[in-house]
Amino acid sequence: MSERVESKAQLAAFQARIDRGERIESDDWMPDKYRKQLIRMISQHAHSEIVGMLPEGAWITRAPNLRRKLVLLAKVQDEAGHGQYLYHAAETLGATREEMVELLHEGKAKYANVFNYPTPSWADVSVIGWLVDGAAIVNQTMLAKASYGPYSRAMVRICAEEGFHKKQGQEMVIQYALGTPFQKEMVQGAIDRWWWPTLMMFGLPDSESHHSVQLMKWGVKTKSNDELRQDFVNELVPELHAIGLSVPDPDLRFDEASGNWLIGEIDWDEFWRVVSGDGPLNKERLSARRAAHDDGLWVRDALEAYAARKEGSPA
Amino acid sequence: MSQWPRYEVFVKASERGPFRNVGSVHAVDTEMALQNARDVFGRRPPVVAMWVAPESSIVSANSEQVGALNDPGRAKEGRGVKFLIFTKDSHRGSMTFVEERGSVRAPDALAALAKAARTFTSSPAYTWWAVAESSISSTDSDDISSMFHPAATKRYRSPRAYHTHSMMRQIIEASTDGIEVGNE
Repeated sequence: MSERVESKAQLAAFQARIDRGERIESDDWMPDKYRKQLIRMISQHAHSEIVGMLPEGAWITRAPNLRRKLVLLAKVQDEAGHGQYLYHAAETLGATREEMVELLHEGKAKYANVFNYPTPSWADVSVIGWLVDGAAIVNQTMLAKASYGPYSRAMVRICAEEGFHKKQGQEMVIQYALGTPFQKEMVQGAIDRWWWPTLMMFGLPDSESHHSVQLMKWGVKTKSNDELRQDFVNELVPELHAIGLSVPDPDLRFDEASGNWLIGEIDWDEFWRVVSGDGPLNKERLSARRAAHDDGLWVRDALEAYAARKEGSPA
Repeated sequence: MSQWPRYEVFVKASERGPFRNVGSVHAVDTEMALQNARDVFGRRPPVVAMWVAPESSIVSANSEQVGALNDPGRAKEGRGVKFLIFTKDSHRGSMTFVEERGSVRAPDALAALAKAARTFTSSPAYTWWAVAESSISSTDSDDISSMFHPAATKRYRSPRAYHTHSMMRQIIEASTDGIEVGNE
C-alpha cells in the first residue's frame, strides 16, 4: 500500500467543502481517516441492522394474531434491507462484504449493544418498535444530513421506512397500556427492561466520546450524543406518562428552566460490560449470525451451480 | 466466502420518469441481480421498472476529473457504441444518486464521459457515470404486476396505517378533561 501524503492544502480544501455543505462522493478526495472512520461507523451500523433482526425475529412464530405476524415479518424484512443499503454504502469506500462480515463473525466489529438483550414477552416487540426504533429515528434523522453521500442517502431511505416501525410499536404499547391488567403489567415490564438500553444507544456522554469531535468537524454528526439523548427523553416521557406507564428512573424530574426531562445516572459499567461481550445474549447473537452464514452455504452453492448451468446451456 | 460481482441498481418511479441509481446488490448473474434488486429496492417507494449493470461496466468521475478528460489532445473521437449518461446535479439530500440524462455514442466509456460533459451542459454536474447500453439488463413492462405491484398493496407496511398521533392527542385531551382513559 503506497504512502499517502495528505497536504495541508488538500485537507483545507476538503474541510471547506464540508463547511459549504457539499456532499462528498466516492470519487472525491478524502482524508484517509475520514474514509476509515466512515467504514467503521457504516459497517457497524449495517451489522446492527442485521443482528437487530434477531430479538424480534424470535417472536415471528409466536405473534398473537395474523396481522401482528404480517407486520412483524415486514419489519424484520425491512431491517435486512437496511443492512443491505448500509453494506453498499461501506463498499463505496472500498470495504468488501467478505471483510466486514468476517470482522463481525470474529467478534472484532461491533454492533449496537441494545440487541444483546433478550425479548422474554410479546410486549417487548411493541416496546422495541416504539423505543429502539424511535431512538434510531432520532439518530438517523440527524445522520441523513451527513457529509458522505452514500451514507446520507441510505439514511434518508431508512428514515422513511423507520416511521412504520416506530408507529406500529407505539400503537401496540398504547393498546396494552390501556388494556387488561395483564397487558398493562406485561408492557410496563418491557419498558422497565428496555428503557436504559435504549438510552445507551445514543452512545457515551459527550465528555467521553472521543470519535464524536472529529465526526462533527467532518459533518458526519451534527448533534452530540447528549443532545440527541435529551431530545429522545423529552419526546418519550410525556407520552409514556399520558398512557399511565412509568419509566424505571427514580431520579427522573422535569426541569422548568430548560424544559427538559432530566434523567438519573446511566450505568456505564453495564454498557462497557455488554459492549465487551459480557451481555446477556452476545454469544447467542454471534453464533446465530455464524450459523446463518454457514448453514446458508448450500443456497449460495446452488445459486452458483444454477447460474453456471444456465450459462453452459444452448441459447 | 465469495461476495459475487456487484451490480448497480437503477429504478424508475413512473412510466415517464428517468432511471435513478439507488444502490447496489451482489449476485451471480443478471437474473439474480434483478431479483435481489427487487427484494431490496422494490419495497418502497413504488417502482415500475429496474435496470442492473455490473459495477465493472460503469465508469464514474467527478466534475474535476471529467473536465480533465476534455483537455486538448486527450479527447478521443470515433463513432463507437451507445453509452447512457447519468449525473448528480445537486448536493440536496435524497434517496437516489445519479439520474439518467441521455446518451452519447463514443469508442469507450472515458470518451463517452468527455463527450457527455460537452453535450449536457444545462446544469452543473458533480458526478458523471457512463454505462454501455449493452451492459444494462432491464425488467419488462410485463413484470410490473408480478414483481412490483404486490409491494404497493401491502398497506400495513406504511406509517399511514397507524394512527398514533390522533390516539395520543385523544388520550391527552381526555386526561386533561378529567375523563378516565382505558379500554372497556
